[in-house]
Amino acid sequence: MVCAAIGLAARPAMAQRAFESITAGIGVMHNFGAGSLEEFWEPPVASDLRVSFPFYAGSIHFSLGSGTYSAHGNHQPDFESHLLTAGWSAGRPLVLGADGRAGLQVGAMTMDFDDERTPVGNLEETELLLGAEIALSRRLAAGLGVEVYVATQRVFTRRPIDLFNAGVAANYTLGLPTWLSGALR
Amino acid sequence: MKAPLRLTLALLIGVGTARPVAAQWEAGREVLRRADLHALQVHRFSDLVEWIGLGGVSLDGITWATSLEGVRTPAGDGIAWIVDGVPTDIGAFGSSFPELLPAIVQQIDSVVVTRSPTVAQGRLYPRGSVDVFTADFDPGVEARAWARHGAETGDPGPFVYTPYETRGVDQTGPDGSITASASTSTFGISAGTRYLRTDVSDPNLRSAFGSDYLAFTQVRGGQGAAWLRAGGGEHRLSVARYNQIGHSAVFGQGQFTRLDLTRSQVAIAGSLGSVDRRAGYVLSGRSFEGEGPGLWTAVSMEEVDGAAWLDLPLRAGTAGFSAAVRSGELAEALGEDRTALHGHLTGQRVGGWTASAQAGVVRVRGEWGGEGMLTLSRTVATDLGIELFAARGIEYSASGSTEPLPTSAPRVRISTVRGGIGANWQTRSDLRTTARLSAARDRYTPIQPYYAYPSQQFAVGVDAGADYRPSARWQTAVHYSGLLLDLDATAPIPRILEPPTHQLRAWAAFSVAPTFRLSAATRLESGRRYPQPRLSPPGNYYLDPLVRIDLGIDKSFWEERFRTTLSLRNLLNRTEQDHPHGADFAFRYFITGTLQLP
Repeated sequence: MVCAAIGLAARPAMAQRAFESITAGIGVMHNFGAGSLEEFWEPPVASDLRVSFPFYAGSIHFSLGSGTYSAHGNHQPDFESHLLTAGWSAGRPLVLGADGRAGLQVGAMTMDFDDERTPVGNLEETELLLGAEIALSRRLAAGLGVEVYVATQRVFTRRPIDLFNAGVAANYTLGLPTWLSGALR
Repeated sequence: MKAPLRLTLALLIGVGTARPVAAQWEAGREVLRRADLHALQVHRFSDLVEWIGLGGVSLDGITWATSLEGVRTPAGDGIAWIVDGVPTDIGAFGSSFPELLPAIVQQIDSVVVTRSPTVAQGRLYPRGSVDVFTADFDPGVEARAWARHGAETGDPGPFVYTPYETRGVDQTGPDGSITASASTSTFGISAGTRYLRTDVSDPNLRSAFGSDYLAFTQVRGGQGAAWLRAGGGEHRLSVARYNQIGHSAVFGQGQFTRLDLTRSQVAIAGSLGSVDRRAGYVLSGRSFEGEGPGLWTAVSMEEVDGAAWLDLPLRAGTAGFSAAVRSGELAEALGEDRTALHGHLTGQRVGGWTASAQAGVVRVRGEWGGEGMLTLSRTVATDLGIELFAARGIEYSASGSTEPLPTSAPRVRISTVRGGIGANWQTRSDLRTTARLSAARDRYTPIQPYYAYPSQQFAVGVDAGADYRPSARWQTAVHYSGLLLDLDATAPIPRILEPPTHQLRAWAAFSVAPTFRLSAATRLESGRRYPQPRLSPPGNYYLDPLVRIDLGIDKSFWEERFRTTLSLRNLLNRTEQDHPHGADFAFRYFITGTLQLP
């Protein structure tokens, strides 16, 4: 499966103004572990749309990862999952022109069940998640960059769901018009 | 007259003005400004009750039986809720309903919590007062919309389709309010409406109702006000009507009953003349309509409150008197139909002390009683002030709130004696500290022979706090409340309201930028062991110590006209509960948005 995502290039925190630019990206994300979900469902390879802005310190990130969990058997329905996160991270330049960053996330995991086979419960669920992410990025050309990242997230269901995702994304950075950056700031 | 003294007077006699008092800081008094309330994620009155820790019991986080210092009275409150100078009774069916207060939290300018005895309109409130001051509107037209929604974590999620299925979780919201105002410097009008809803899903509540549906509480209503400033005074007319649908409980018995309660109020309040020669008045009428538990299957009651006062300047202080009357079906049912005449004398300086004395006679249900309060205060040094107070009250009340008595309105004779010492000092311009030690003895005797269980309680408590605001960007505060001694000679009725012995509340807020703010708050409470309630099965009636940590992230846009907040409450996911029979709250999260125009 091919996925789309936003990768966010980490920028030096000090020499920036909040919301002066936007970095948008598209990529693929693989779920290497879904914790207790794996007993009943097969974790997906997911698309990932990401956008980020320089913040007052560090940077803030928004992402939407989408994939379908396939049930192992007929007792559970498949469900389409959306991971919507907002996060903050701090970064610093590393070697060979690469930047590294690490940060925290808060968001929600939404689940849209295909439960024609097993019509119980709600057709949709939305649960809070908290997570952490580290990423390595490098600028390839003017505005164009690539980023690899790993994230671990806990979804706060009664039986917690611990996710472990890794992805790669291509991204593009451009400046925001003054009126927009001022409004966001 | 010095400003703090004026403030004391205003709070003691309940002057009907809406002046913010945010700058004041006195012993035993906790001031929460609007920004503080926002940092603490106080969006409902029940959030406020929860934070200031009135030591009460709630089953659903909305309806409370409150008791400052944890000393029980049959009335279950003993606290004056005063909204813009108008004492506002929010009790019914033996519980307190703070969400029926005629105000909208998003319009509050400041809240002053006084944990010392307070006299308001000729009535002694032994456990103090919560003064709510709504904000003055700037001249012009303003409108504001606010909304919040949240939920408890711990939903079954996808496991609802597996053998690991569990119950659903509580939902908080949707909540919302809309307010609008138009004012000039001398005249203004405002109107607002609010709605809130909570669905609690705890199995013990559902089983108590005998069904599998979620027990929900819903409050909706609206209010309006008009005010006029003229002749050095201010006059304010307000109307409000709020309805709460939810459930009530007979505490200690695990019995729950549906409740549908409507509270309406019309009030006119004002002050006349200059600050040193002032008169004031309050006249309010209110009604309760509802269906409730036990004998209160259906009620519709009205009452009228009225009070007037006059202060006269003396050479070294102020003297005055106030008269108050409360009558009507509701007051009679609560055993509080009364006529009171109070005199007060304030400001005499003897040896550096400032004295404030109030004494009055009350006539309740044809019975005469008396109550009085004496406060001595002195500024010892430029940065240190101390205060001594003593209060004595004899009054009649009636309620079945905290007692499992099978009648709705047992008449009870109450005798209270309270006293204490407080100090506040300010060693730096940005750091204020306060401490208060108080002792209380309550004795009450049910009048009906069958329930003649004379009982008394004696408690010694301490309140201490510090408030540190080094800059507009960085603010923090910490408060501790503790019971040093708590003797309960109540027998054979088991004690139901069990306060935490120790409670520590602290919060901090930091503005990363003018439009981006982070806040954190924590509340620590010692564990509570409850006696086994009558008619209840044996069980573990113990609540573990509470460690609660809250986080808030707040971002505003468009010159702060739009603000959105993410709140994470009880981040450690510790079970939070007020009563073994009540709902338990886990890690909760809320998203809030506010739009203000222009």
